[in-house]
This record gives sequence, structure tokens and C-alpha cells, in this order.
Amino acid sequence: MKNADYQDRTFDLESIEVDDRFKICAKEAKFGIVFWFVFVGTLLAVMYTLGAGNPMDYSYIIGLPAWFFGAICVVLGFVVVAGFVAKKVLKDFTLGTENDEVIDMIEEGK
Amino acid sequence: MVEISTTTKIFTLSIFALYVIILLGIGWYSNKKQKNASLNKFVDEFYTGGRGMGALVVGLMVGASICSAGTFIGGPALGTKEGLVWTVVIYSSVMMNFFILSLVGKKIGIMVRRTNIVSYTGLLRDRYDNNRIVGILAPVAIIILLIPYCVSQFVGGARLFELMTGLDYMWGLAIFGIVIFIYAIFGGIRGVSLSAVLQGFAMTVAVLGLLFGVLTYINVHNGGLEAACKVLAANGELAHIIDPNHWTIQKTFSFMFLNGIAFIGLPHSVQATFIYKNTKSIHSAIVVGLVFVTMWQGIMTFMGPASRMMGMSLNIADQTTPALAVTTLPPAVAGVILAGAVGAIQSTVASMLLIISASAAKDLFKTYVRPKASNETMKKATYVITAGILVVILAFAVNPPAFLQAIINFALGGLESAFFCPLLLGLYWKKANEYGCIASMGGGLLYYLLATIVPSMAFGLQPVVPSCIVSILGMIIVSLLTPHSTRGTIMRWFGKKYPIYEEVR
Repeated sequence: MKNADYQDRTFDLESIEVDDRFKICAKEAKFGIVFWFVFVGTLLAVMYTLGAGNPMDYSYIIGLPAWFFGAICVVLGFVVVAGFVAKKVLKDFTLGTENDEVIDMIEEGK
Repeated sequence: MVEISTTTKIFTLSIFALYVIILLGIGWYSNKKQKNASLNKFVDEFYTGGRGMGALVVGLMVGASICSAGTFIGGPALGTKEGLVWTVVIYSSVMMNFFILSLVGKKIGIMVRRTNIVSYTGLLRDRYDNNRIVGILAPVAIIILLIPYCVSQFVGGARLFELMTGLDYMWGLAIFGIVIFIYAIFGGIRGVSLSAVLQGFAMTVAVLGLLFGVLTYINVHNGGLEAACKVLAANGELAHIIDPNHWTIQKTFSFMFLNGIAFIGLPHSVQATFIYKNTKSIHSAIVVGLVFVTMWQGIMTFMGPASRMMGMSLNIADQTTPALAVTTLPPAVAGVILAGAVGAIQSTVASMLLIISASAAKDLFKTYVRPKASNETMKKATYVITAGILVVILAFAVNPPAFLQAIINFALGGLESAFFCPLLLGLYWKKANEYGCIASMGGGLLYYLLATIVPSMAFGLQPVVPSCIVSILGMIIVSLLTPHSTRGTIMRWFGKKYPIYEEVR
């Protein structure tokens, strides 16, 4: 590849064939972001519904205010799901460059 | 002021001495390993340990970089004021390993092998076409924000040491400094990551001991958790400890963002993604992190409200953890708490130290000051610069100037506002370019600064949320209005085939 081609900024972005591993990474990243929002959304919902009202009238589960106990359950539940996803759903692939196709640069003016 | 008995002091000192000896052994071992690496591989080896680290090391390193003085000292202290809502906010950080490693970890793993990059800013520089503004602004921001943060960690650790052992503050600083000097500077990332395993162990014993002690105390002296909570609920001044409603939902959400997903903007937390061996080890590292971080953060962040349930009220909130330790535990076990807290602090400081050093030695010195520096020069420069930074940090810690506290309060959110978007969109959005990156970094940092000074600009949220929105908008708008990155860069960062071009390294 010539330097001018390397530095070119007008090419069509879609013309570049994307490495399958990057597609997997992008998918997993999207999943991670959605997962975080679902996690925090659930946590906030539990906190502010079970925790509404006067602290004097709270109900208790194993000695903790119900909203706090609920929050702990949500956290532990999501931790288990995250562990399961990490071990079973996230994909394995080689990280190295051994399967990459490397293009040599052509030095001009020599 | 918490009273510490002489027996506790002696036990604490002996446990601490044992712990220091093991750490020095790790430093010596890592240095020996490092000497086996050839000179031209020295810098890579120092910062990445040959990229062959397994799950336990990577998992604990990510986790331990997050659990710091904040986990053991500042967090419980804030918990005594804000109560259980703060506890739950910190619960949003327990899945950090999952988010850091799954969001950015695997792609970084591929990119560092394609490019031989050793640092966070090196990644940004390469992705954004070696732009000088990105290349200089990023490491400078890291150096300015992380040094004061390290200082605060040293100060917290040395104060705890003074309190728990009765030895002078300066002794605490000196011992901390020497230990870190030996294992981080002689051992490089290998020393730091192996130490993280020991520190993780100390932290685990400490938090489990503390939880057991505190729950037993509440059962015996306060008639159980429920009775203790009801006493708080009936107390007009303290009812908010068990009530989430004194924080609005938006405010709680924004603090969960700060202590949650935005951590991928923290270079010292992402550093571990440079050293893992293969995807199997990263997946197992997530599980390791889930187990340990949940335990450390989950238990320690409950300690603030727990001290209120015990009926404690301290003049100095930062002494909550040692006060709990000596009140609820036998003297021998109380010493373990110090080892655990010190471990949390050291592991964070060490990983930050390596980041600051990589930013200074590799990203500024080698890239812009002396591009032709020989391997021999770089080896010396790495040692000298890392040691120099440690000396600066210790000098500030002797008598921390007031302006440091201002930077510390600003540091975490500032780093997240600056780097969250450039890293995430740089990794996954082809159209992101250097102009967008500058707008995003600059815009995020500036807005964070403004919203910290003028609270109304934060709309009742932690300023990191509006700042990240500004940062993301800056990236998208500016990138769309300017030409996209060069073909070479896009091929290397997204393509199956890509050119090797020496200068980009």
C-alpha cells in the first residue's frame, strides 16, 4: 500500500471488510451497555418502590429494611447472570495476529 | 478520636511487617523475571508483563484497582452521613470487571497485539491518527488528575497506619513509599499484578472479619439488625440513614453512573486489559472479579450505616473503619483490617503509578521529546521517571496543599468525562475521528469543571452525567462534520486486512 492510500480520508468506510472478531466485540459491548441500564433500572425501581413512605412504617426481611434487602437480591441476581454470560455466552477467539492479513507499505521515491 | 490498645498496636504491627516482607519478596521475584527479558523488550515487559497473565491475576488487578482508600476509609465515612442509599450506589460498581472486560477488554486485547501499544493514551493516539493534540492532552490530563489522587491514597493510608500502630505519620508514608518503590518500580506490571493477588487475599480476610464482627456486635448489643434499624427510624435526625428518599432518583442514578459503567474512562482500571493471555482468561477474570469485588465493595460500603446501627457517632468520620475494627473484633484480627485497607490502597496506587509513568515515559518522552531514544535510554528513563513521580507524590503527601483536595474531588469524574466517550466510540464507531475526539475530551472536561463550579449546570445530578452527554454529542457532531480517519487507521482498527506502518507504532 502506498503512503497516499494510507493517508486517504475520502474512501468509503463500508468498503473495508470488517474482521469477524470485531463484530463479536461490538455485539458484546452493546449487550454490556444494555445490561447495565437494565441492572440500574431494576435496582432503582426496587429501591424507590419498596422504600417509599415513612421509615417508621418499613417492613423488614431478615432484619433489613425491605427495600435494602430487595436491592441486595437484585445485585446478587445480576451478578449471577453476568457470571453466566461471561462463561457461557461471550465468545472465545484468538487474540493474536497469526490469522491477520498484513499489507506491506510501499516506500515511494526510493 | 478512637482509642487503640497496645495489644492491638503490637498485633497490627506484626501482621503488617509480615505483609510487607511478602510484598518485597514479590518485588524481588518479578525483577528477576524481568531481567530475563531482553533489552529491546524491556519497556513492553515493564508495562505489559509479556501479555501472558491468567484469570486470577487479571481479575484481581481490575478489582483491586477499583477498591481503594475510598472502599476502606472514605466510603464507610460517607456512609455514616448518607446511609444505605450510598451503600446501594456503590453496589452498582460490583460488576466492574464484567463491564470493563466485556465492553472494551477484548477489542483492546486484539488491538494491543496488532500495534504493540502499552498504554491507554497510546491506544487513543493510534486510533486518532497520531494527532498531536490528542497525543499530548490525554497523557497530560492523566498526569495532572492522577497524581493528586495518588497523594490522597497515600495520605489516607498513612493516617490509618498512624492510628492503628501508634507510629508517626511520616513512618507510615516512608514504609508505603519504599514498599511500592520496590515492587512497582523493580517489578513493573508483573510485580503490581502479583501483589494484587496478595492484597486481594488480605482484603478478603479483612472484610469478612469485619462483617462477622459487626453483625455479632449488633446482635448482642443492639438487639439485632431490625431493632437497630427501628431505633434509627424513630430518631428524627438519623431516619435518613435507612431511607433512600433523601436522594432523588436522578441523583442516585448519576452517582451509579459515576461509580459504574463510566469506569471504562479510568485508565488505571483498563490497564489490566493490556496484559491478559487469551479470551478464556478474560472470561474467567470476569467471574473472579464478580466474586471478589462484590464481597469487598458489598461489605465495606455497608459499614458506614452499620456503625450508625451500632449507635456509634464519631467526630472524625474517616476513622469509622478502624473504630469498627477495634470495637467489634479481638486485637489480633483488628490488625488484619489494617493489612486489608493498606492492600486496597497500595494496589490502587501501584496501578495508577504505572499509568502515570507510562503516560510520561512512553507517551510524552518517547513520542514527542526523544523519538529516537535507544532501548538502553528508555530503560533508564522508565526507572527514573517512575521513581521521580513517586517522589513527587510522597513530597505532596508530607503536607498536602489545599488545592490538591480540589483536584481530588475533580479527578475521578474528570477522567471519566474526558475518556469514557473517546475510548468507547473510538473502539466501535468507524466515523469517530481526531477532531471529534478533541471536541469530546475537551468538551467533557470543560463541562465537568464548569458544572463542578456552578452546580446549577449539573441539574441536581453528579456532573459526570451531563459532561458525558456533552462529550458524546461533541464527538458525534464534530466527527460527522469533518473527514473520517485515514484508510490505514480504519483498516487496522476494524479491518480484516491492514497495513503495517512503522511510524504509527
